Amino acid sequence: MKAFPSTHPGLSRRGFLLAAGLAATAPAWLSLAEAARAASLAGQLPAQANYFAQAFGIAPADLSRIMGEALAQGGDYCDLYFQHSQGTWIVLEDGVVNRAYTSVSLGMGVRVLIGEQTGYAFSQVLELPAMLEAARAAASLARAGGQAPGSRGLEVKPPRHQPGLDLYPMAKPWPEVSTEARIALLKTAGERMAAADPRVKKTLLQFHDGTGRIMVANSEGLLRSDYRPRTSFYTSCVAEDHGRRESNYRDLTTRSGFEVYSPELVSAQADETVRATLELFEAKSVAAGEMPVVLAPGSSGILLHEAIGHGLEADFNRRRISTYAERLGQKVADPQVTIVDDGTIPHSHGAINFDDEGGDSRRTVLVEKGKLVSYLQDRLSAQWYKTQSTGSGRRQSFEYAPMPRMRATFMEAGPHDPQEIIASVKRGLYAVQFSNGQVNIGAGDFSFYVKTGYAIEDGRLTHPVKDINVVGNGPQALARISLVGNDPALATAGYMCGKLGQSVPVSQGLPTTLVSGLNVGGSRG
Amino acid sequence: MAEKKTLGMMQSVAEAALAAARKSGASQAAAGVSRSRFVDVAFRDGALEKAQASTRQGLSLRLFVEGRYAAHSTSDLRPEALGEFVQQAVALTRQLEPDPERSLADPARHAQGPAPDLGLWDAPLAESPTAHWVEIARRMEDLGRAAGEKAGQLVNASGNGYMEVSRELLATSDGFLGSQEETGGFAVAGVVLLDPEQAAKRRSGYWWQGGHGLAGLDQEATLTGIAQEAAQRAARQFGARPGPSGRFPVLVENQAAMRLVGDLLACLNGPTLQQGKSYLRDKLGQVVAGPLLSISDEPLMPGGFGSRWYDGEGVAAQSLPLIKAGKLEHFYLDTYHARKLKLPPTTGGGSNLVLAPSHGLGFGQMLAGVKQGLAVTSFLGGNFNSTTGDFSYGVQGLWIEDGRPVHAVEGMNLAGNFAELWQGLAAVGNDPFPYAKLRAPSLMFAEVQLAGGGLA
Repeated sequence: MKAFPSTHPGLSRRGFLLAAGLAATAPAWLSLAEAARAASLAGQLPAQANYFAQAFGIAPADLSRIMGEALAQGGDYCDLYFQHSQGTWIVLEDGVVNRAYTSVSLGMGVRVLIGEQTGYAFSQVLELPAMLEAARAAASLARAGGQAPGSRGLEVKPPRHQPGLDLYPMAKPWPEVSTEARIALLKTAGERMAAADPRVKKTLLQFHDGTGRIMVANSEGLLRSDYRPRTSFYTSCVAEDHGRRESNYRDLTTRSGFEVYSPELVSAQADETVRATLELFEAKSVAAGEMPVVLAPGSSGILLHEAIGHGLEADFNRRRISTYAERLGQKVADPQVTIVDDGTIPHSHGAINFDDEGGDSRRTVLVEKGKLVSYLQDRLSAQWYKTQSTGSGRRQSFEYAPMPRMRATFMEAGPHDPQEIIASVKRGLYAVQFSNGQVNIGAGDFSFYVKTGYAIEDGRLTHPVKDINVVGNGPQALARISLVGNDPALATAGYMCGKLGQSVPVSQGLPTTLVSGLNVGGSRG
Repeated sequence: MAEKKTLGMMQSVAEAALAAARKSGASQAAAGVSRSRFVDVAFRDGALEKAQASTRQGLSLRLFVEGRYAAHSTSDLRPEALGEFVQQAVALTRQLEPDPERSLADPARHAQGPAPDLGLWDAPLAESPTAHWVEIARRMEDLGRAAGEKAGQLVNASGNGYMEVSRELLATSDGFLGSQEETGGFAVAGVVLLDPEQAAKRRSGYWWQGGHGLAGLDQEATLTGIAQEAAQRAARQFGARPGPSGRFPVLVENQAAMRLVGDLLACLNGPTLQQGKSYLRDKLGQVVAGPLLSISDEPLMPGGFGSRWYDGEGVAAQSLPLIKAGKLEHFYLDTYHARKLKLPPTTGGGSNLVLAPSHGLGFGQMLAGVKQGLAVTSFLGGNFNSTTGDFSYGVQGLWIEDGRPVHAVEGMNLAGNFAELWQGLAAVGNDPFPYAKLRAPSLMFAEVQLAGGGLA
């Protein structure tokens, strides 16, 4: 289970995709294929609900027919997931816009459930015979390839459309944004970075935007459609000082239109990228070993993602694999600690108007005043736990069946002043920027990587530090949260979360927080 | 034959894309078409958990338009959609700035057919029914449960069967046409055990074997061996805790060593070098590691997981020495990055990676030679900074005293700089991990900084 920045472009790559369970994490680019249909739709945005009917002629009667086929071999339930998405990546390297990438993804997946057994098949062709074939395949797979028991078939209720939330309204939707405007933005930021300091030797910037058309239908008569935008702006540079080289980056990722890129935001990100890179020349190593760690507000939420978020995904608990299995209702942290996973934060990277099995998007309190109160449920796990889905059923694309996933995971504000928290530490680490993390679900051991931070000495931030891995154990780290600040923030950087070969966009956040002891992997003894 | 027909359809798609690109004004283009069918079955707790099967296909197109370059991919291969896609792709490419170093590869370097037999295709596997993989998954879960119950208190067992039949074809506007077909199958066991020493902790172990042919996975002894390995890997983490902090010898097991070798190889990539983000950027021809390190890229290795007879540009595959006895010999450079860096081109991407062994021993025997130190069996998170060579990784494994494991290890970090780490390479095992492109053997490092609990 890994989290990593959502910034790499890429093209198809060959090789075997290993089976689920091999911890084969999808490369970052794969998840970026979750994307947009921009240019070709300019000027003719059909109403969400009608998109697949207008573009591909898929009528309600077709949905019923496909689902009838899917349930013809003994299934209790089925759902269909349609997706048509497109994305564009434009790259500015050393002042020149010298390459671009585009990606189109089209297809539909059929899931059939027989009790807890899942059969899944997809088709990249949205023509009825191919979709019926996928339905038959999913039906047969759910029976482990066994024979159908006669002609039993469940009744499929006629689809009725239900609106979802409206979490990503756009003032400047992507189909109306010209390539020139995207290029101009890259040029402005790139020139600003190159001119900022003579030590800046190389710049690499990338602008991404994409939108995905989604439609979910199920055998209980639910029908939902969404139009999901996603944009990211990545800025990086390499600087050289007396023969030493350092590189750093910043990124912004959001579900918004072009309006989000104000001139102030673009300049600020360019300046911050250069500053963060040059600061690394001042960085010194820290001594290795266990010490107090103060997490800066924002992207430090990676601690929650790794230390508890994955461990509360209900599939891991119902299989008793998670270290948090059978711990609902128990005290896991100090009463200052309230942890929430929320799919309803407007424009956040983890926002969803409804989940990928059509469930309502929700705000789910996981830990309330230190007590474990909920897992993250999808339809299948909720059925097992005899509870409601928390709207956490997500998937990477039409090629995959959904499973319980995080959305935006964060800790709510505590009572303490951030300065007071730093001042309470005699010798420790102040962690600011994170590039990735990973957790071992069963043991609860996790790791996250601090790209930049500061040493704390006698209650003050003294010098920058860099490239340090921090390891800990989830339940133990939660129990060691001793001070929670009053400055909660959601990270603006976009993280992709990888689980069993599927990645989905997530957000994370945290107020300034003191963990009394974590193992810091410095290179000095 | 069905295969011939599929390849014919793929060739038509590639040719249609190239024709559309030419018509829209592209001066050069390369079209790659891939198509693969897979079956993926998982059993857990004695029942089918999930079974998936489908065919996926896609087109990737590299376009060169008036000195400008862009790359595009789509899974929508309807003829009318494809025409529109290519037209828009060319229009977008035209809006970029010129990049004079971009072009297709020199045709003199193209691979010449007929394709050699690299042992990647197995007709029985290609024709195997879904039921075969259902049975493998069911069998693996049974065996995993049996092995897990013998090894400790079983929480959960899982089994997977996976097969894939894949084809890819590459056509360029200057005449290269090549294709490759491949089959593969895997049997996987997962075992989760309750740690008898630390009640809340579950220890999980996974193992798998795979290959291009069906024959490798039809022996009962093979499947039993996979399940036992999974259970043993879970059980050997019982009671894990940090070892001491300090500088110690570190042995890295073959499968885990892929991480270290992979991070090193990332520093040899054209894009990383071109961006100045490789600590090896100025080191061609120089010593960058101890004399025991020799790594080469071997695309023509029979039956390898990365074997191929042409690369992503259609260039003829050949053996490529990367590091020889510690000396940096070649980078991974496609046509574009070779021009940018003013070096001769090699190939843009890796195939099978082979490390020359420094002795005939494997992990177990190497471990027996460690007086006091850490044996790393897996990495947990961490990172490597390619620009500076600095690394800091979370590690799990075994603490070794006098050649014997004394306790399992977790919650430790390994940190330092690659220049020093690889200089201190003390032994290269003769146990390359056989189920991946990157065939890393177990590696012994003389001394690395460990951060754990107290001091030794």
